[in-house]
Amino acid sequence: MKKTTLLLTLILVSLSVYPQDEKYLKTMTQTIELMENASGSDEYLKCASQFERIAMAEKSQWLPYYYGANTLVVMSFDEPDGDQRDLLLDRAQQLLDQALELAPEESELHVLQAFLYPSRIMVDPMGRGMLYMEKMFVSLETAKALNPDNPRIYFLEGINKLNLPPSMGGGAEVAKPILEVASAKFAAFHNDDLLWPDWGEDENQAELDKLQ
Amino acid sequence: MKYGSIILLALLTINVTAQQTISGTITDKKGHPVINANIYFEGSYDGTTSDANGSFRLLTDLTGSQLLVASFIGYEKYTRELRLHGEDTILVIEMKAQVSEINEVVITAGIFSASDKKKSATLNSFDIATTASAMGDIYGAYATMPGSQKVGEDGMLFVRGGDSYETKTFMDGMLVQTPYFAKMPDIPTRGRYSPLLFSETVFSTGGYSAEFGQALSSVVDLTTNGLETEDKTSISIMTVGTNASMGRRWANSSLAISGLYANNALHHKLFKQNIEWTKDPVIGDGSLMYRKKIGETGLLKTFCSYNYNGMRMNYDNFEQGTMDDLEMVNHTIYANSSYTGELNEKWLIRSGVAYNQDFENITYKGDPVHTAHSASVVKLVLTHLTTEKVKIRMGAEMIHEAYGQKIELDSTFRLELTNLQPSMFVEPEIKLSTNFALRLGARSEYSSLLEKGDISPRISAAYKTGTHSQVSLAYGKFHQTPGFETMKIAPARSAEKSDHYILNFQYKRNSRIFRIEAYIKKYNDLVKYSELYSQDPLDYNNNGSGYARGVDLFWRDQATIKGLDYWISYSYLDSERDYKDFPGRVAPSYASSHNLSLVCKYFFTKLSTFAGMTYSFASPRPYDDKNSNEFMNGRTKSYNDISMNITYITQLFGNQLVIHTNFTNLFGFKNVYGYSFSNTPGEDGLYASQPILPSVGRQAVLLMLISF
Repeated sequence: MKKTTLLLTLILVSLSVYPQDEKYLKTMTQTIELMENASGSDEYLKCASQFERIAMAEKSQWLPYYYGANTLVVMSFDEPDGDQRDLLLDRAQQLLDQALELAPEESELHVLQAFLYPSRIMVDPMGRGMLYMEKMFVSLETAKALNPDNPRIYFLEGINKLNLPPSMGGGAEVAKPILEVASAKFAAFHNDDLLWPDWGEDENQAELDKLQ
Repeated sequence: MKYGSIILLALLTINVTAQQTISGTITDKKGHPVINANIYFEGSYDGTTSDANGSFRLLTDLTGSQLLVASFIGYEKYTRELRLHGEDTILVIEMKAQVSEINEVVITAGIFSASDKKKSATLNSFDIATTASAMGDIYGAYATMPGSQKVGEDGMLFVRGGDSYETKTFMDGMLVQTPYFAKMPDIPTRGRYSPLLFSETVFSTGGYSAEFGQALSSVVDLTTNGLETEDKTSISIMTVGTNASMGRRWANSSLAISGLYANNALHHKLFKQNIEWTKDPVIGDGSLMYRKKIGETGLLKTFCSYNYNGMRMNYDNFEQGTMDDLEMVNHTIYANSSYTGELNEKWLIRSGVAYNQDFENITYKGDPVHTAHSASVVKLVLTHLTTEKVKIRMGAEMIHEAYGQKIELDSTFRLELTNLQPSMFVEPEIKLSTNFALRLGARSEYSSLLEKGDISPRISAAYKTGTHSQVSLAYGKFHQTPGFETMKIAPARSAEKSDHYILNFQYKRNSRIFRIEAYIKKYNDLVKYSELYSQDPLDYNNNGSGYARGVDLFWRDQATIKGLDYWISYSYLDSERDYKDFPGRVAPSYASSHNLSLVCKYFFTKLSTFAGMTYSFASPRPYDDKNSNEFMNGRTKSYNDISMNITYITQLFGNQLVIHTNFTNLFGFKNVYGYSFSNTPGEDGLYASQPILPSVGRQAVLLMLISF
């Protein structure tokens, strides 16, 4: 009987001193998966909240902030109310700024910044278009300077060109070669960090398929 | 023994995991549930989100003293210390709405502000550039805002029954002495500076901050652009001239230069002119803008410009029955350098120097009049962020103006005047609650020319009546030193004065805004003289007075129809004054009772075409009918104008090409601004009259811009 008690105690103790790294990895992986399959603002907000909690607990990791901001940016594109969308983006920007403080030279963060601006533009296309287009361009250039092999830069550039009418330097013909570059960069991209952002590849392929 | 083990096991489980449930509800101040709020213990992953009823359930195995946090977008973070010892807890949490740009209480009485950063509640530089009737002129665009009166032959801003000199322009906080091009009689002028130079504009129709002095009616405050975002070069060719600009961006600084040459010769051939030009108007303009980031928060901005403007015509002097040769040549230099930044966490600084030199040579019937006018400004504004709720702004300013005039008639007359004008202001802004803001300002000014100082109190308050609506109130006293045009003959004894009382209601949601504003303005100590151009100082006094009262309405909607942006402004004005050479209190010639503007803009995405239209209406304006016994009792017919612009964006060899056309008075309304009367009566004893007409009936401008 004593043996059993000891064993049980050991199991319980080992559970509570579950290594932090593993817990971080596990929770992040779970939440990223949840986020990737999320639909509706409730599910997105739940994920964003979880990322925020992890970010606050970890403090020195930029990825939870990154994912928190990314979740809000993604959901903001579906938010019809302009004021509400601005609030979501304000919060996303705060999280992104915190991530940038931890890793100012991280290409992915500048890509996320470039991904945030179009959502701002959609609130007031005429009033904001020019300013935020320029800002987006600058963010993508910064991201490129920091890591020219980041495929998400080219994916966003391609999408951007695709949405722009030919008269403003956009259109399918201009976009296609850029999306192809993105495709090649996605294929070659590798990062040892299991939590590293990996969005864009499927979407990029989908856009390319449409252009075939 | 067996039982003992089980008890021990049970105890162990409790002790090690000590699981407990924290549950409860989260509501806002009004008791509405806060949905999807994030509830967690700081430093741990344990957390949950509230459901559609604001309820939450949080399972945790933490022990001891822990900080529970509830947070949600748009709310202030809620924290509460909990002692956890394995017992379930039920909490009722009330969250406070966060003060954000969207729901913040802001003083709006008399103010139309807009910036590229914020949502364009009113007008930003892009709006100004695309307003059809404005033709790219800042003041032209503000003429479509409520509170301004249409005065077609002038082109300057006339606000709420005030004369054009009562509106002052500030660039980066510093007074600009000559913001308009030099003016010829009956020909509208326009602003010297392109709207594209500015990232933020404020048009205030009354009750403005104690920071601004020397304006009886209105203030236009322009903030120049920050760092250029990228390298850019553009060249444009217009039917009225050509323009080139180049911007360069480095890591922490940027430089932009631009040059303009405008000539109306072609235009005057294409569109019939009501004026006999002997030398078509020519404008030459060059400017330079340098920006440098200093440290974390500091920004140094320098702007320099030179501007030439010349024209000559045969002026139809109907009063004398002659055609008189009139030539005008104007040179202006304007330079401005400012620094903004944080001194530390509590103090913000904004400081600058500006210099304006204007030379105007007018030759009338061969007699030249040279006028030189210079103004130097030094200004310092400090903001102390005393607490989260209290902000104190204070500042000092010194303006030195020199005016000299040389008239060559039979002999040469010289007039020289200088005015040194130091001033100070202090203005605390207090947020008494999230719904109520109060601003109490005082400004003191001294003029060496008047040998007198004045103190102007300014008070304004705003109260939020709902999430999207608020009421604002403003009162203020305003002083303005009389212009050199009269001061050169008779030094005034006092500044001209006005008092503003303003009540404003605003509703703003997403991209829709509605405003209604009622005001009363009282004028005192206005300069009066018994005869226009009298050279006798005894003919001048400070006994003029007047009033203006009215209601301004504004509605703008950018949301209802995708791609359509429109606004409607309507102003009702009742104003009378006794000033200048008026024999009594009457409505001045620029005061029309009803002014209406409808501005529409639509972007045809598929065609890459942007179209704009403005309809303007003004009710009859007073004029002095010499054949009537009463002064200023003539009324013109009402004013109508429909202007349009079309902008087409395309690509040329991989560079962006913009083709833009602007049509003014598309339907050729025959507008009359007033009447001139002959100085001598005819045989029938009546004075002959002639209408003052626009210099051109209808016209079009074509512009092509290529940027690379």
